[in-house]
Amino acid sequence: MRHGIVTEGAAYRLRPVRVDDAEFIYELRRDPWRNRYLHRGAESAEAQRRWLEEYFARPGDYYFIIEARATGCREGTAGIYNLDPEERTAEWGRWVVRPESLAAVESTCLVYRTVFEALDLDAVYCRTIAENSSALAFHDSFGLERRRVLPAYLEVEGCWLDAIESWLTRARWRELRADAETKAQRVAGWKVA
Amino acid sequence: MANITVNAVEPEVRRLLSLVLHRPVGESDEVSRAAEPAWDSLKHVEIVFLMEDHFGVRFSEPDLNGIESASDLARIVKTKLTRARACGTAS
Repeated sequence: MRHGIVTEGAAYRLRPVRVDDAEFIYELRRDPWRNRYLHRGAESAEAQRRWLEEYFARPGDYYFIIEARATGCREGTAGIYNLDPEERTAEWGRWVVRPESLAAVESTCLVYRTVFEALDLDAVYCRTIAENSSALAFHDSFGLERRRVLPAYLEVEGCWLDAIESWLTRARWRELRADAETKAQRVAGWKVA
Repeated sequence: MANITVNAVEPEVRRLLSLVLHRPVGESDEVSRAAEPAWDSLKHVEIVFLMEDHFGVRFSEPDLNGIESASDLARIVKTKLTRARACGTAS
């Protein structure tokens, strides 16, 4: 959906996706090996543009570009979607960061700040393919709680793969926030060094 | 880490790595990010923080992108310590 949420961190910001980001998103998701555990991306920049037009009309779906504050350079994407206003929950994903980027930690903090501050939700979850061990390890390291397995969640080259659903509540974010943001700020120091 | 010799850097790097990865990292183990699921993006920055604090060196963005293994870490720390000592800026 079209939204105006911008969340600023030490070195990065989340800002709403625009139609002119289509080429960037298409290129970001083109690497079949890095993105093997994501839903299949658009087949062309033009198809990505059409996807974005449909996304703009879809309520409860917030798609962001992760960009460096100092340069405005785009370094990745993240999304918050499947928002349930009654349960006050949402899913987050579409998280892709350029290989050389330092945005992983801070962009995650920015997603959680957006969830709990701008959107004022009570909990957020993400679904990670069980074979994607480094992404799962990241969420575990961050402090998310694994709650359930979703069998046969995503088809990759003819194989159906399970997903793990990991949750973060507002209360848990309060516990984790200071440490996570301290790390993000220190990483920001590397970026400007 | 005031008086560590350059030769002692690699064993120390491996000892520190074992603390973060929660498993022994032997002298000849080739530990790489690609083959080590526990070495995720968050652990990566924690590892580098630990190296900075322990050895009194400072990493930068290009350094971060050049670290794919325990050997890379040791090489970068050694280079930084050697340069800093040559300039008289490190202990």
